[in-house]
Amino acid sequence: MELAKLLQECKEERLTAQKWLFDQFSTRFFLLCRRYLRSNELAEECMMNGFLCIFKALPNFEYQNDGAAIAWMKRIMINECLRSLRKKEPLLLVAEELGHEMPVEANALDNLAAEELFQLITQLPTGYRTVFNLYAVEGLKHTEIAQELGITEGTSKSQLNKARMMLQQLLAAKNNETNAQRKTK
Amino acid sequence: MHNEKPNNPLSEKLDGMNSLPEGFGFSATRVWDQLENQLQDKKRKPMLWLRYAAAIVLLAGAAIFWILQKEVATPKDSFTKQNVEQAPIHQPSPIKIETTPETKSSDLIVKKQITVTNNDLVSNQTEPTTIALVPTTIPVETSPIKDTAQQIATIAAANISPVIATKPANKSAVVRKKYPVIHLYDLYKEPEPSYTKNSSKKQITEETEENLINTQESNRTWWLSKPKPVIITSLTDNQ
Repeated sequence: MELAKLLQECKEERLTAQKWLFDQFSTRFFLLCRRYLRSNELAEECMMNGFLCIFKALPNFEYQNDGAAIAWMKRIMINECLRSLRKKEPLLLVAEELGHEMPVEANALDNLAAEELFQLITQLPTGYRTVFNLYAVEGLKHTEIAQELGITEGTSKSQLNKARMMLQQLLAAKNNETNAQRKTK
Repeated sequence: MHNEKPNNPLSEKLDGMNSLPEGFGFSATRVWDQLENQLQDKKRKPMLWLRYAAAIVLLAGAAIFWILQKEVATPKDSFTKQNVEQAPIHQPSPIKIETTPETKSSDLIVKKQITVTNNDLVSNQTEPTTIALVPTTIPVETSPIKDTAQQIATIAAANISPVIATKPANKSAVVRKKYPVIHLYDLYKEPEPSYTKNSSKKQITEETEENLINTQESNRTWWLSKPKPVIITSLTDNQ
């Protein structure tokens, strides 16, 4: 079923259409929520609340194209995750003196597979993970992130650098493990 | 905030994941069930309000109908609170006050004639109610037991005599002879000096011993000799 038609039927509060939409996007949105949140249960709860918000806000949504509609739904999910983080996992972000971006190998993460990248991101602490997700994955600017999380721009930058450094360390550790496994084999 | 972002290799890579990696999972059916319940509740809410509103309207309608029916069904002569209140109550005539100002209005003295009706239910009849005296005769019944002639005669005499009911207020007209009551102590009193009543002038006879003796002797029919006082010498002396 086309997304436009599906969304139109969801606007009319048809349960079958809502079920179709849920089945089509549940895995994708669960992974999105899981990238921001620590546990599967929290991610489930956030995804459910996100779908409720989508169905509630659909009457006011005007369909343009599939990309915009999916981005709109993703944005709702991310907002739900941030709301949950503010409630249950307050971001203990300490402002750093210097928020300069440290030189990191540019293509280090690009070479990774999606699953590897996902697992590395979920291993980050809450603050690093949130800022990295918002900046590197969602493409927000530091000012926008600062507004969203209620922190300063410098804090956002420092959190991102630390997240990158930690990811490199985790990646290096993983590479060492794989090399060791290969040697043993 | 933009809905569409420029191509981001990390975002594309992560969004392209269609399967859950190891260690990450969720129950889609369970989440959908919860979501469905919440969606159903959301739909039920307006229906509940509609039902409450309909129930209130029905109740109000029923109440109005009941009140109207009650008013129609009650006859006017029935003894209801409303009828009792509306019924003309015999009220005493109001106090009639006639005021006639006197010649000088400056005196501010007003002659008032006040007519007050007596509403007391207590009768003012002063004379006692008369009770007719009816002689009652009880017929003599011959008892199966044979009495003596004397007993029969007494019973017959008792039956023949009429029973007269008299009012206690009406005392019998028989005038009893009143005897003077004299206290025992007064018997031992010495008589007071007597004065002559027929004297032209007031002559007071002096109370001398001779005069007293004369008077005592003259009134001896009444007067008793005063007994001598008994002197008690000891408490044990009873003899």
